[in-house]
Amino acid sequence: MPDQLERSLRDALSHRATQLDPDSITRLRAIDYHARRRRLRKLPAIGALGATGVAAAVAAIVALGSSAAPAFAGWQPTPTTPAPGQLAQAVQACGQDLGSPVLTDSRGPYTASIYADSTTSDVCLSGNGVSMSSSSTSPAPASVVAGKIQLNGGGTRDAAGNALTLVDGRAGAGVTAVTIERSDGSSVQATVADGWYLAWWPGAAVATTAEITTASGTSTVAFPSTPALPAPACPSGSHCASGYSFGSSRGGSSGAGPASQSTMSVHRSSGSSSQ
Amino acid sequence: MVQPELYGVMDDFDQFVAGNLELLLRTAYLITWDAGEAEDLVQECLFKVARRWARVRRMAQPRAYARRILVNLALDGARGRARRRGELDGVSVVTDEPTRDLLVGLEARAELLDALARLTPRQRAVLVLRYFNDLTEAQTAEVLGCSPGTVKSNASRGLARLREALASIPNPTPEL
Repeated sequence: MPDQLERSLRDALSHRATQLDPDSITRLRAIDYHARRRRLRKLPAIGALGATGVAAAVAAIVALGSSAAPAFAGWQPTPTTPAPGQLAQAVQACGQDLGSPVLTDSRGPYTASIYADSTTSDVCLSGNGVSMSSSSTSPAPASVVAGKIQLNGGGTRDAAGNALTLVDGRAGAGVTAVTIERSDGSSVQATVADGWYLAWWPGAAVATTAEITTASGTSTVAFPSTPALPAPACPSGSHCASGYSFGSSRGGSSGAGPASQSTMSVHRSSGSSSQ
Repeated sequence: MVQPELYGVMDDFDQFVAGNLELLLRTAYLITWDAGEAEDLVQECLFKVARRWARVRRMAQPRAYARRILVNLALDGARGRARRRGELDGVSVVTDEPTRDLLVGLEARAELLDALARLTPRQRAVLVLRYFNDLTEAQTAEVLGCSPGTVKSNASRGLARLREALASIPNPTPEL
């Protein structure tokens, strides 16, 4: 039997709960928490690449605070050693319930991690007031051919012009290094670990080729063409999408893997919050 | 067909939001005691749930998963604020002034709300989950990631403080 205090407590809490401004609920209902997933239907990449039986696509949601810091200050084209506590902060930012990452990539103050299981794979990027996640609704292929990599990735941009581009996927046996050549002529060194690779960079330069290093030498594969998304309608302060997306081949993997789709979301905190 | 499947997944999510948003917001409000912060927390919570929805939707209780994320976000935020203020223990959150009803019969409720506002966020979270969300001690422990015994002791301490607050009222009304 609840005692009198417990009954009073229930009454007080219910009373307090009714004091919420109804506009709060209205505002929260108006948010589209997954708007960009629907945009995937419009991406030319899906149809074109879907014909091969293997397709991936990335769309994006970007939310930037009005006082966002300069985009990705301190980013490095070559992976760096994480600072003390950096990886723990990344785990906290990404959510500990995702388990342990299969790959972690540090570039200056930023940490990008791949979390994967048999059904989905997520990429989470955080640091310096920025957090981003990319979630795939289908699993990455269990493996790719030795010496090859899965080509997958996409990019995003916000109203202020801040953009990032990311490539990631499975790496076949024997792959020791992957260097991504970009459309602006520069290159980015990927992190390669345990059959996965990942590289990302600020800006909208797209990946053009990947130079894959194995014990027997290097080989180069071209990324699929990168169709531009429609010009974004991105009012200041709102969630919006842009950038590009490209589908993947499996880098020479045997057989066609399951089709997959991904979404990417980016949030930049407006202050020194826990991002 | 990939696209229809994707649509189906997100339709599920829309239904989830429609059915749970209000409860999540009120829970966050009662734990943080701050409407603006509660709104931010629910937004962050739903973004997290949305990006993992393909996995979450297969869970037995997606609402429980969302509630766990929400409460952890609320308590993590409270710890962050405490650190910034240099208050590592015994956090007294900054709150808006509780409504004080002028009617004598509601004075005890106002005292109770005042006392609730002075509890630590964790103590308040325990009471909110137990007496607003109607969770059992075991369910509350699962949300908070602690043992049922810890829930019990936290609830007991919180209720004791509320009793003290009510005892300070000269003539509490019989209804309370």
